[in-house]
Amino acid sequence: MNIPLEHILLLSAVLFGIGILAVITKRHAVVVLMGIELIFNAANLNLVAFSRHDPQLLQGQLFSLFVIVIAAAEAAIALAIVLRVYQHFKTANLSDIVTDVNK
Amino acid sequence: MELTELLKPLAGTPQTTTALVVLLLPLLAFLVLFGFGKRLPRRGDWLAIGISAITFALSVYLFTQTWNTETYHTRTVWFSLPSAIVSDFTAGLLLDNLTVLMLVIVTFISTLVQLFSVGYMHGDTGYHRYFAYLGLFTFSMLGIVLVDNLLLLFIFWELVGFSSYLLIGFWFERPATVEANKKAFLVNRVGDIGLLLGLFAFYTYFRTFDLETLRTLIGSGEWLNSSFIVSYSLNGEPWLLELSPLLLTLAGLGLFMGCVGKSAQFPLQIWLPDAMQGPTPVSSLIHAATMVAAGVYLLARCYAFFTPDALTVIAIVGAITALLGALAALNQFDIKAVLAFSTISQLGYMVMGMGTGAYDASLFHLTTHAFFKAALFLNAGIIIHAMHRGLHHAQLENVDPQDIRNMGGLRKTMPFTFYSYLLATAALAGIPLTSGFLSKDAILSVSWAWAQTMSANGNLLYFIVPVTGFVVVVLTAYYMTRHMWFMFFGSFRVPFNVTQIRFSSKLETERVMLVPVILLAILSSGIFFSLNPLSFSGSWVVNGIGLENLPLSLLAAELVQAVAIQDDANHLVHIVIGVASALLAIVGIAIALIKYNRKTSEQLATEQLNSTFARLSYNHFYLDTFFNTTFVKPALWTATTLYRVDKRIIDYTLNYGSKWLVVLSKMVSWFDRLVVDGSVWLVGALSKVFGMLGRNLQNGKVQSYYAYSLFGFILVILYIVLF
Repeated sequence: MNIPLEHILLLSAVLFGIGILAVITKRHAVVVLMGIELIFNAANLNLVAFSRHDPQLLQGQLFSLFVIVIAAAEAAIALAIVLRVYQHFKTANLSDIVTDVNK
Repeated sequence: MELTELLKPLAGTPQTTTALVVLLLPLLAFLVLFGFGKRLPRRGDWLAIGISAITFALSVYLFTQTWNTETYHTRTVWFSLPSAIVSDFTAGLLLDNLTVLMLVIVTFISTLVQLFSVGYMHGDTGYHRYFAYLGLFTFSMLGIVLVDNLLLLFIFWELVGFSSYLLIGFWFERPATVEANKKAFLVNRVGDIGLLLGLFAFYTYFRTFDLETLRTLIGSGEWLNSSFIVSYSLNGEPWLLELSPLLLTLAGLGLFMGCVGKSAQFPLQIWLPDAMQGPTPVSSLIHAATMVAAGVYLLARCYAFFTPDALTVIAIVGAITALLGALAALNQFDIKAVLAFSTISQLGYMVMGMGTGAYDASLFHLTTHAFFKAALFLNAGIIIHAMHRGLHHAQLENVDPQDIRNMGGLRKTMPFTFYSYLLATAALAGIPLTSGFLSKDAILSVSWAWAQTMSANGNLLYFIVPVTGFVVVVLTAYYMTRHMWFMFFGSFRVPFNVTQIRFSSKLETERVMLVPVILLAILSSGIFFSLNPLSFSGSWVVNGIGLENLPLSLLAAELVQAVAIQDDANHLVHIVIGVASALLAIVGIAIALIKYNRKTSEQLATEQLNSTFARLSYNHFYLDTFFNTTFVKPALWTATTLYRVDKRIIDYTLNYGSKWLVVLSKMVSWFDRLVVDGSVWLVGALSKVFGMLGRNLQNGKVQSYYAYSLFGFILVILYIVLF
């Protein structure tokens, strides 16, 4: 079964859009991180899809592997930051973390 | 010649101090009477008359001191302007023959008139006010006579105008009186404009108003290439004047304009008949010695400043005035109107004499005229007074007491008045042995000599002037005879007993009124003026103010001397002229007698103006109407129009303009608020908006930063993709 590239790109775009939407609109830091994961995955999907036409095979897949590793590390760091932030502000809600400059 | 040197102060002498006292006493009388007259016993007439008598006595003293002996002159610096090209303004008194002669005449007549007024004005509500005004009037006239410079003379000149305004309008509750004094005042102002311009002209040329200095300066000039050249220095700075004769003539005629106004010369004589609205003694004073004489006096004082051309104009104006006045007097019915027109005519004589070089004769006529005209007016006053009394007794209130048609036969009832009137009339008509004969003869002789001199080049038109003089002699004799006939001859024409006009059974009028009249009438006889009553050349007046005593200047000296020489050469002509004028006077009298002797009492009482000429002369040739239509009406029309323009256009424009201005200012304020303030506000608001925008961008929210950067990134991508 051969899925046309356009479908994959479209899916990737939808994923990216959902990810962006999550990043921009969601209040909770963890959900935002989840949106970032979605964006990563949209990129990974593209990488994997484009690698099919790559004359040097598996280059795209390797890239996506790197991306997954970096994303895992990043998620760990980000979660750690979120935890610190939660400890400090008693909330993980991004709009509440904003410190009022006047305060 | 250094001007400051000529103008240096001169110390006073006892004579000039006395003159100052003479000048100030009437002013004192005016102030006291005006302020406290009501509270004084007899309301202060004794004070006025006493002061007048003192001034008269002092004047006589000054006369004896000055006449034909010496000239007294005192002068101080009045004020000076801080300028190198303006000399000091001086003020001073000058006593010479002319001054002291006028001084005696003015104070004498003034005293007699005030004495007369005690009777005439008896019981008037303004009694003390009347004497106060007379004091002011006398003061002003004495000022004109005594001062030594033109500026001061002008000040007193205007004071005379003002005090005559007060006196003519003395009965100010009568509308006609107010009209008359307004007219006299305004018409005089017309002349005064000319006088003022003349003063300015002489000041501009010679930088001083002082008469003596002016005379010296003009005397020092010379004629060169038909222009008059004078050089003098002022504060060390030399001035060289080169004047065309036309300028000097015009300046002289400017001075003459003042005389035209005051002395009622053609064409400004219209005020004088109206001035009869004042009390009769006032008319007497104004007509005889003071106001109208001031013009002739001015001519005499400024005689050195007139060019031959100016003198010719003066002679012609005088001749016209003499003729017109005499013609107008022919058909008057008002007792005072006849005398008023006669005054105009006689003043014309004097001015004509001045113009023809008969300087001394004119002043002589001024002197004699002062006495007999004062006598005539005071007599007229007695008659009016008596008529009032009679009409009041008979309760005939609507009969005019001044209309000579209502009189008649008064010679039996009022013999003193009749004889004094007769004497003064004879003098006015120029019957030999009277003073008027002498002075009129003198003017006629010189004017004849003048015409001979002037017509040497063959132009016989100059003879019109002396011929006019002769015609006026006939006319004067005629109208005065008619006047006398109406009043004193025939029978009394108002239906009541003529004796009712007498004061008491023994007296025709109050003694206090009779004495001045008789005195003046006696002084109308020639013996007082010349020991030879048939020849004027022996007169002490003529000798005292003769040309040899006149410091003649260069301007008209040649002409005047030529006329004098011609006059001296006219031995035979003198006799002819004397006889001719006497004969002409008799002819005039005869015509009047023939005309009126035939008429019955009824005809006289109802005499009307039948011919066109009679109406013309009665209405003074419609000069009043003429002036009314040519000057007064247009002036009034212009004034009304200007008033309307002011009201309808300027005021309207201003009113609506201000409304429009309010609207405009509202618009401007609206514009200001909305556009100017608004744009300023907009700038602020915009920066506020942008500031808000910028601030809102940096809201510290990670997500929004993220969104912005994404948005930007997309824009960049779009840019790369699309372009």
